[in-house]
Amino acid sequence: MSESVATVASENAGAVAWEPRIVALVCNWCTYSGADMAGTSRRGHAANARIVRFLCTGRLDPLFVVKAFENGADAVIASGCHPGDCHYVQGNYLARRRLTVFRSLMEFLGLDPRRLHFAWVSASEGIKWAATVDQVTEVVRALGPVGRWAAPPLEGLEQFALPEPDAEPRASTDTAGLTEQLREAAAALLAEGGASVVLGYAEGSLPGQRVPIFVTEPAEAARLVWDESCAANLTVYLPDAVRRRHGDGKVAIVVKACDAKAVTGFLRENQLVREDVVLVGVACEGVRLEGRLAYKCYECAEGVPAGADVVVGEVAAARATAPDPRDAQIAALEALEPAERWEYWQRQLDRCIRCYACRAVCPLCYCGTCVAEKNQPQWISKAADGPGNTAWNVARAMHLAGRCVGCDECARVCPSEIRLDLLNRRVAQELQTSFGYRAGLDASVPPPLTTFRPDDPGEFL
Amino acid sequence: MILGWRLTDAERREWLERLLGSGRRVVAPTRDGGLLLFRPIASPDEAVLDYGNTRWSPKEHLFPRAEELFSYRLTADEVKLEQRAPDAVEQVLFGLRPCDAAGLARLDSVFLDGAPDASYAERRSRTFTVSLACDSARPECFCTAVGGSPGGTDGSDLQLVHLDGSWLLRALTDKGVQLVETVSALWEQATDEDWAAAKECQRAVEEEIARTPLAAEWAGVLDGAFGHPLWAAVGERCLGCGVCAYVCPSCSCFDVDDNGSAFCGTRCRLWDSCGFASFTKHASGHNPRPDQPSRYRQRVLHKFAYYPLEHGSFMCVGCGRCTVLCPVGLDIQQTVRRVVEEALA
Amino acid sequence: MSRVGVFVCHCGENIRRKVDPVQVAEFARRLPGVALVEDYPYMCSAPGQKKVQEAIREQGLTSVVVAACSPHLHEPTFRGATAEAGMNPFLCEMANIREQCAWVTENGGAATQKACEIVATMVEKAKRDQALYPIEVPVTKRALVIGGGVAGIRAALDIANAGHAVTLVERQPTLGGNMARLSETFPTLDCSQCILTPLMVEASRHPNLELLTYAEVEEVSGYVGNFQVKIRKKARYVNEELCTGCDDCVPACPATVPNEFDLNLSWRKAIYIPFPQAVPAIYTLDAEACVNANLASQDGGYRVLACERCSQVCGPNAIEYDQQPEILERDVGAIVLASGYELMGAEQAQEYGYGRYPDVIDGLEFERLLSASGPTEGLPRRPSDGEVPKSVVFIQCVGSRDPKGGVPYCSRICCMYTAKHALLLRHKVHDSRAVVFYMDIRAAGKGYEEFVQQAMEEEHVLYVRGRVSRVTQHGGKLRVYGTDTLSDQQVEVEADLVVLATAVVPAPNSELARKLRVPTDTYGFFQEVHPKLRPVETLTAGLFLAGSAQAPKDIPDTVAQASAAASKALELLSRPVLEREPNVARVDEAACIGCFDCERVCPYRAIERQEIRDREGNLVRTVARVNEAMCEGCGACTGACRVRAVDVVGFDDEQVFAQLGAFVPEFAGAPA
Repeated sequence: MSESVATVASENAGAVAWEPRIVALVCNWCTYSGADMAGTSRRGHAANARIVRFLCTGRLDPLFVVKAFENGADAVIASGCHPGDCHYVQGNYLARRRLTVFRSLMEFLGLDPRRLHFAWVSASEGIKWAATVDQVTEVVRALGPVGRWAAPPLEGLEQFALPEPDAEPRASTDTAGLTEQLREAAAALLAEGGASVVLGYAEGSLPGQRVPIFVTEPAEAARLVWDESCAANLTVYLPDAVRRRHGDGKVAIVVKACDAKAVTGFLRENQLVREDVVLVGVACEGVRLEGRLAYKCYECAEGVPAGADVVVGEVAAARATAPDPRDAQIAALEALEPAERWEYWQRQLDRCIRCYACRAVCPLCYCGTCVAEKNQPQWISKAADGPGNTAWNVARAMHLAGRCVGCDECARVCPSEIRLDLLNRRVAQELQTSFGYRAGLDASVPPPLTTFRPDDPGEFL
Repeated sequence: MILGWRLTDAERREWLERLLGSGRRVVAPTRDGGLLLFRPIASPDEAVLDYGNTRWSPKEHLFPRAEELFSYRLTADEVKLEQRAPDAVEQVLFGLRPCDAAGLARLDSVFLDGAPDASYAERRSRTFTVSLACDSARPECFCTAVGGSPGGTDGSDLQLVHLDGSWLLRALTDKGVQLVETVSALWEQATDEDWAAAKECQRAVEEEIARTPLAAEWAGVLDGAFGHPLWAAVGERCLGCGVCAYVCPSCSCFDVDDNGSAFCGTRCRLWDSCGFASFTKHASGHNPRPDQPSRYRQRVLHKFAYYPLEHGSFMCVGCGRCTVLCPVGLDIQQTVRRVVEEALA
Repeated sequence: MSRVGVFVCHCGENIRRKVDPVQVAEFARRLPGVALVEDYPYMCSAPGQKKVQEAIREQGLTSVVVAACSPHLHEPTFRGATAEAGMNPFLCEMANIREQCAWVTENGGAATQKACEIVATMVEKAKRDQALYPIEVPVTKRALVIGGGVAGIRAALDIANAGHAVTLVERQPTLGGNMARLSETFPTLDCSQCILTPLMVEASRHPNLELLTYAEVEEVSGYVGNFQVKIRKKARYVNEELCTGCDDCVPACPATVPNEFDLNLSWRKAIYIPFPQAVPAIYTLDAEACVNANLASQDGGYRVLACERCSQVCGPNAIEYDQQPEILERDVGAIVLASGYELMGAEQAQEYGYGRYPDVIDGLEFERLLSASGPTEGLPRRPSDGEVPKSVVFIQCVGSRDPKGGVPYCSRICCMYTAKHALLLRHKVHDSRAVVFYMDIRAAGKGYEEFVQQAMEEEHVLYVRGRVSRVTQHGGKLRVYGTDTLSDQQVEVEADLVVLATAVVPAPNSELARKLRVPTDTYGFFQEVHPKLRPVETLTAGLFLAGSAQAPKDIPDTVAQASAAASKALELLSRPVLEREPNVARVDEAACIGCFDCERVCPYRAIERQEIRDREGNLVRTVARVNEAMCEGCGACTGACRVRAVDVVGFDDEQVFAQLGAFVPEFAGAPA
């Protein structure tokens, strides 16, 4: 679709001098009336904006903005009532949070921030609306057209190199003892009826491979292993495993501290009842991927998951941690110019084959029919091309905003080695700095995009 | 007498230069952002020929991930349908492993037999394949278990064998002969001893792989074991992503998707995976493969029962990529052995 | 198959001056799904509307787009015309090519192109419009009024007089609220009880009004038009039918406790009536105060009574020691909340000696001292020694307008009642002296300024503009240290009595707020939807506010607001069914994953949980459902829904998608 429209747009551009195309997503009560007011006051402005009317900005989904760009927009404005004046009480507060997080994600992807504007325009501010349209039109005129969305010429195969950490905070440890203890604990749970199944790790068919296993007999517990290769987050199986065994006994699951945070998400989102699950927490000094300590383990001080029902092993009271290397990597990317950063991410996304392994392995992606599968309407193109891959990865990062617990499984399993963990982490950073929120710690804290404070930060015109 | 030559490394390089200069697109394994993938190269040095296997198969150069079938546009009172002209550039898939070449042969049987798929056929007709025999094995390899070999020639127009710093090259098809016509006269003929050494190398690699072959009759056994309760257990940990199907050299399933508005849009053919829940979902909402074990069973049976019963060879070519890249380490040939063992017991 | 009719208005010269309607019409003809296009100078005129109607009737149109002015102006007009022609009005859309196009675009070519694109998007929207019908919600023809002060009484009477059933619930044994405590009311100096008690009696006798005193709301469930309420009627231990109000029980009762009606300035017995004119005129036995310790035990079984004196002297045998509280259930369609106010406690007034010196009292306490039915029979006396005070100092703004120590808002009534207090003091104690320390005088109502001037000029009440730093006590007299900012001097006043105008705060209502799920503001006052335009409605549809429960106010405003709340309640009750706009959200239950983010973001609590069970009754999953009676259609739920299971009818995802895809430059024609 975007290819065809973009072709049309570029053909048209050849025929006629290019004019910035701006799509404005506005609320009915304030900004739409404000735009009417500009008309009744005869306050002329640039003709470049096209308005789509909603009842409230709280209705806006980031995918609307992405689709607008796919369809040829050079910039998008979202505008609603001033904070505190929302006709529906709080829709604009919700929009403020969602759009602020979305903008930080798009800027991180390299979209020039001058192409995305948010404004508060009330029904009486006809002049402000006119000024906003004029201002954005001129800014975008100076920027130039987007051209083909998400299809930059990727010449050569060079890729910006991200900084790597110098040293790891911890060395490998011997986990043989933990394996024994784990087997005993699992066998005991099954024998005593504490659980009807234990989800754990077993050896895979390839050397060093660890795969999930569902153990239902105490004797089978001997197949369980625990070591630094047990990277997978088994909580992805939880809601379904519980559902299939309803009434038949609890589901026990071997979890690391990072994995267990996903359980908080399940509890908060009504997918699980805590009593149906037995958390078998294993003392973890870190997982290693091809011998190297996983990034998420650098700053982890936890060792054993909080709230575990059964604990296997102990972790040294104060253990060595170091800053997560991703912070330096994100900073390095943010130091690039938007165009360079856009190219970095488009190269990454060019390799996306839409296998959805990232989705399959994420515990918090449990929607029966994913938005990517929806075709009435089809917000996300199924094609594994620039626009489709951009829309998919933006949707994934936004849908996980405030929910992702940073287990990094998505990045680990991606066959194209796309740095999905950087996208999730950047969004999490935004949530923490702007809204003081961290996921996975407390099931009673509402998801940050479902709540707001009247004084939330946000750059609005 | 095998029609073959012995090339020095410089000659091999020079041959690549010629191919690049001949107006053809040369697609070879090369580094793309840290991954080894089949990509068009601009110079011989970009080709990596000393490698295990690429991250995913080269099938996307014959069967693209996303292929526009046509676009539509409204102008005045008519609806214009436009099909892109194929680019008509000949392409050489250079340096693919025998398993991947065999995979292309499987795709040929799907797309060309019976009523040929027009776009695949068009692309295939201008594609030459030059495979590279394996001189070592990786833990996941099992081509020998499914009727293949580290020196297998199924699907290759030409095959290279790296031997003691030189390259043996033999033409296996008319197209292969055609590709080297202009230059083969300059090369030294390979001797019988050369080919014997190559064979020896191949045998050594087969030993390294060390997998017992799957019996052809097992296709029938698997088919008969459709209702076996073991499927629930073997498929239990499958998460339903598309990695296995997409990296697989022989998977050919696709979806057709329309993307657009009332005014313009495109119809595309896209890769699809039988692992996805929506793969067999009917418009009514009913899904005949309602759970993941039934979908995983489908994959196994397609590769190891339905296709062989129809075509006489396993569809799986034993490259092992699915086992390495599966997020939960499902090992398809281990699954086959297990089910067959249970079924025969 | 869509057959959209597009009607392009010239609007005289207003549109035509910049936008070429003929070109727009030409363009619209080429749009897919458009069956008919007409242009006309004035579409909103009668002939213009007729064109639309004829086209609907004769051309089999499936929807209509009128390209003209803003929908905010004429959408009702064209939807009305559409409905008259027999097509569902929600199939009619407007493309705004005047206010947002012709009137704001200088270049005619650019304006015409923009108009074409706007029409294209609205055609796409119209193609996907569905016929919608107002949502009908049945209404139970009974109202509930919570709170029996003047606000509650007025609201209940208005509703009852309009012919509807109303249940009035009051937690005290009598109606009256704070107004019953007042001596006289400003600015008329009417005797408070004299003007109030007739209303109380009317309420007790009204055939449509069910009066439940000594009762509290226990539980509320349901939604607008269909609330189910449980009311706990506390046990009086006195049979309401038999009690004649003869007062024989009171002298016999041995237990004496502080009288809360008199704000603890006097005593009462365990069996009592709050004041002689109480409605209902029935005595109440306070179980906490009664000598019989186990009176309030639950089981009502055998109990030993230490004292039965009231029963022994009760002629009509009305005392029932084994009376139990009752839970009454009522179905109501509308609820008015009038739970009233109280004065802020002593904590704010520490430096003024409140709580330490018995002669430092607050405004309501002074009212009791002034009141003829009060502890001192209408002549103010000092609580310490009973002497009549000759010098009284009144301090305004104690706790009000004080962001650090109290509340930042103004309590609105204190300037007036302080003037009244000073005036009444001067009337009752002719040789008394009244001094008022004030910051400002707020006398904005009808006759208010004149009243205050009367206090100053005729009664020579001394008004000192300044604050009081502290009050001390020396041998029976109080000393008030303050400032006179107008003369820039420190002042010291000796007083027999100090009256503090403490801040007005809402009566304790957090339990009630929780039960009704009504939000309160930072200070505990119930939250109105919009302070200017919707001051008596709450976010919970069907729940209205009256009186000081919403914000401090005087009696005239309270009564006015009570009638306003009643009229809102009557709006609901007076129709057979409630009709609501059909632009509401709808959940596709098959797609819903049960995360309930929608429930978290809905400001109207319109999301309900629905359990889906299998044939054996096992819970399969819980999904969301929209209560269309409460939904306002904002779409916050839709914005929050990741799986796209919920959508807003009339502004749905398909329409948004289609509109975003309709801005295609090529088809808009090249600019002139």
